[in-house]
Amino acid sequence: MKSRTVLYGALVTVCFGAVAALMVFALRSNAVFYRTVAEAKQIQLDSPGDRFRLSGYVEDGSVDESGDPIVFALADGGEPIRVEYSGKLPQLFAPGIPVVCEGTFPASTGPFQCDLIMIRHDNQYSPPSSAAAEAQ
Amino acid sequence: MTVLGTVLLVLAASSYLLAIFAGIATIRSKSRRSSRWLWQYMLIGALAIVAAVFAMEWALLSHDFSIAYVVRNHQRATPVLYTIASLWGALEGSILLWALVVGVGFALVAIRFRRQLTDELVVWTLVVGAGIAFFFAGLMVSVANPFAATQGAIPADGMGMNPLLRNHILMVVHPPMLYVGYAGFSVPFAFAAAALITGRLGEGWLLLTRRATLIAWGFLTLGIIMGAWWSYEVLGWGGYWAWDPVENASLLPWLTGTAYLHSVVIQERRAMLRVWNLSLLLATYCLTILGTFLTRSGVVNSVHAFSESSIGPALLGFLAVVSVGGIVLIASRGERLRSPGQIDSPVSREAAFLANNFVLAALAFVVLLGTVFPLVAEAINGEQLSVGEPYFDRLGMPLGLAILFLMAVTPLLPWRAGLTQTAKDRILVPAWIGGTVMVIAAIGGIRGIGPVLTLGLGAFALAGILGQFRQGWAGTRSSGRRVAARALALVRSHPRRYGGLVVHAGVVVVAVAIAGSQSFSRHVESELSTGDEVQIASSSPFADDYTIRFDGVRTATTAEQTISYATLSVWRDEESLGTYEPAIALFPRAQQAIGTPAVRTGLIEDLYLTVVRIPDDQSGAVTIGVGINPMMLWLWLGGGLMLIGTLLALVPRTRSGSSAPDAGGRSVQRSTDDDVGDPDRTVDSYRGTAAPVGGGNSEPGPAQPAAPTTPGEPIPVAVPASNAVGSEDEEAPVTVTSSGPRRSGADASRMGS
Repeated sequence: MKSRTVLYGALVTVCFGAVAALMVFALRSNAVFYRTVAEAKQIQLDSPGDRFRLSGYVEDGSVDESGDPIVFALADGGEPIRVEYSGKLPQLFAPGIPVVCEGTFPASTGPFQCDLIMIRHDNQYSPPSSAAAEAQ
Repeated sequence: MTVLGTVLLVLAASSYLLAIFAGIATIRSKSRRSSRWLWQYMLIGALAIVAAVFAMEWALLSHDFSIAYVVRNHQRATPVLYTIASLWGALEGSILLWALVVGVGFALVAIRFRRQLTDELVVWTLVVGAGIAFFFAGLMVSVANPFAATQGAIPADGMGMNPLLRNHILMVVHPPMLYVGYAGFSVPFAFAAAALITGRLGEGWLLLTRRATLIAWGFLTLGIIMGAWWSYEVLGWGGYWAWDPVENASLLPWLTGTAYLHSVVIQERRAMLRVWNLSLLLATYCLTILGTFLTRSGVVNSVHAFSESSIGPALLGFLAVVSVGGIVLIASRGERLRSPGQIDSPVSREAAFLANNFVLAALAFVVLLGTVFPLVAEAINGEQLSVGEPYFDRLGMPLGLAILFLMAVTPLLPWRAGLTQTAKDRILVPAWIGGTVMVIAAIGGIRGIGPVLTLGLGAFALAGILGQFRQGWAGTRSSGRRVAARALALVRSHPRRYGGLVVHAGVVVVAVAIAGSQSFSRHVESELSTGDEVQIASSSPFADDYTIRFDGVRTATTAEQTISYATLSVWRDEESLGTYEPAIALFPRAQQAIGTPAVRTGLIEDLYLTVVRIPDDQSGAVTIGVGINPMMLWLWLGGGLMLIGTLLALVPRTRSGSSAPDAGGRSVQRSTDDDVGDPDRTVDSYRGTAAPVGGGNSEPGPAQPAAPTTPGEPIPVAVPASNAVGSEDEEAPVTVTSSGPRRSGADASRMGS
């Protein structure tokens, strides 16, 4: 009976260890960090190829939808980053709005290659007649 | 109304506080009078909350903009149904809903046990319940008052609900379902806490809460499935599940709750796993609070989450109190929780249940880690990150397949004994069917280990379930009744078993649908000018291509939104399927674009049409998303099957059919399958019958005498070796020494009904 308890204990431990190891591995390979434009430039120099989410504002007048990939620039106060995106732009995509682009810098120079665009919208909904209510 | 509502909430909070005092007084003095006070305060508190809910609904329906909540969440133009739903459209109101479920839940407990109000277990349950209700009522009185007055001038009209929440009838149904599920777990949790506090750790409290647990679980299941349906069919996110933190928050208690529903059976039969069950229940309850915290404190960005509020710290504090308190209680009772039973064979049903528990717990842990990891990472080093769907998919799939396998095997294994010949015979045919399906699937061109295994294991499980039903069905033959009557008799002979099997069948259908839709979906997005066509291949072997032609845009503009419909004509092969109009609604002020898909639902696949983009320029070209989503209908049908199974499991049990039960057997079944009982019985008499529960299920387990036990001691479970091992006959009558002439009378009356 004793040895069986030990056996089960060992089995359970091994199972949990395996699951835990798998989880840590999966977490590490699937965690995507949010980076600002300034941080992204550093990443491009240090470790091109890393996948991350670049957040910034779409530069006015930078959007070129004529070709494939679509090209635009993201900025956050400083110098903008050129982004290439091969896909269809979402409805709310427009110059001046905050967006998040997920992708990589393939090389230490050149544009950011993005394959997923998310619009970062304000969570707080404010309808037309809210001016008066906003006071509260 | 502001004053009335606030007064009602204060009344509720103070009655619950008084209930706590009355409860403690009852425990100390054992006086009937203070127990009556406890009872009254529980009811007054619940009534006050119910009245507050009505007051809020009245305020919403009568456009009472002197209340800030009404201003923020209601508009004169909103239809009545959505106005009613506005109650749970935002933070304060949803806390009110939580409080409502808790209040009414414990009022029902108080009413049901009104004759046993001096019983410590009941009193402590009510005290814990009053504590929970007090927390939520106190939250509303202090930081989240739904009746807070509008500051400044009272506006002529309000702001209205978030448009995302306003576009479908499900808004009226889905949140309350989840809340009943979430808050409903308060009741079993309170009973468990009471059992720990009183030290009456036998199986009594389990039996009392079985039905409540099942109801809460059923509502949670329904709420989750409805949420998936909503996000797929209405919001046009293209999918039914995105591992969004808030979706995960609803799945987490479901996983642990499901584990609990299974492990409880082992404790009932074998008096094992007491610590584990208490821990699972505690975890489930903590996860419902965590879920409320995630959705209601603004720490995560999600459609479900409200903006930041001061309620977060309070909920975190409550979570800390519940979890630390629970762990301390379990730890301090460690000695008494030592289980008298143990697992005899690694291939017995209880061992398989245990494995199922480990897998479900592991899955819950995986989801929990992925959900809170970004929060933890941000709290520790300020870095924002997101855990991608591949994490959940990659880890979830093997665990899901393991659950499917266990689901197929477990119901076919005998209790206690190892792999007996009968068990082998029972497993053999379903296993062959499963293997054959796997081979056919692989030859038939289904690629990927996941879908092939899902199909095979699903077939294995379904075949096993059908076998079980066939066996049971044969047992009802001698009754010579019609099909419906026989089916009813079958279910009523063992509602939990057959209800559970139906739920399992639903899970299989859901799993196959998920595998199919994940593995064989396709999606294209293309920019179309009027008259342009796009083609997409069907996933069905019986059809080739869909052709979609864009015929133009139709726009409807109202004061607050512009809805653009893209008119699309659809053909499959040469056959016209008619016109579909997916839409996109723009809310200029909200910076929100809400898509409404147009879905052609079919048995094999859905054609899923969305508007991706309608540009402002007058080019007339739009971007249309076209998706082929296989087997989606089966996802919803599987959910329906799970619901039906849950309802069947709640059917009151009777002993009828082929076997001739004796009075003793009947009375035990009654006491095991009903958590309600004769109100005149004391709770201890439930405890007295807890021990032979092993014999209470229709399969013969160790039949044990209902030994009279004194409170505070574990029920002695003597396991006679002779009658248990290897006994297989499912329908053998169970003889159990029973107690109480009163119950025999009650049973006689049930027989007549």
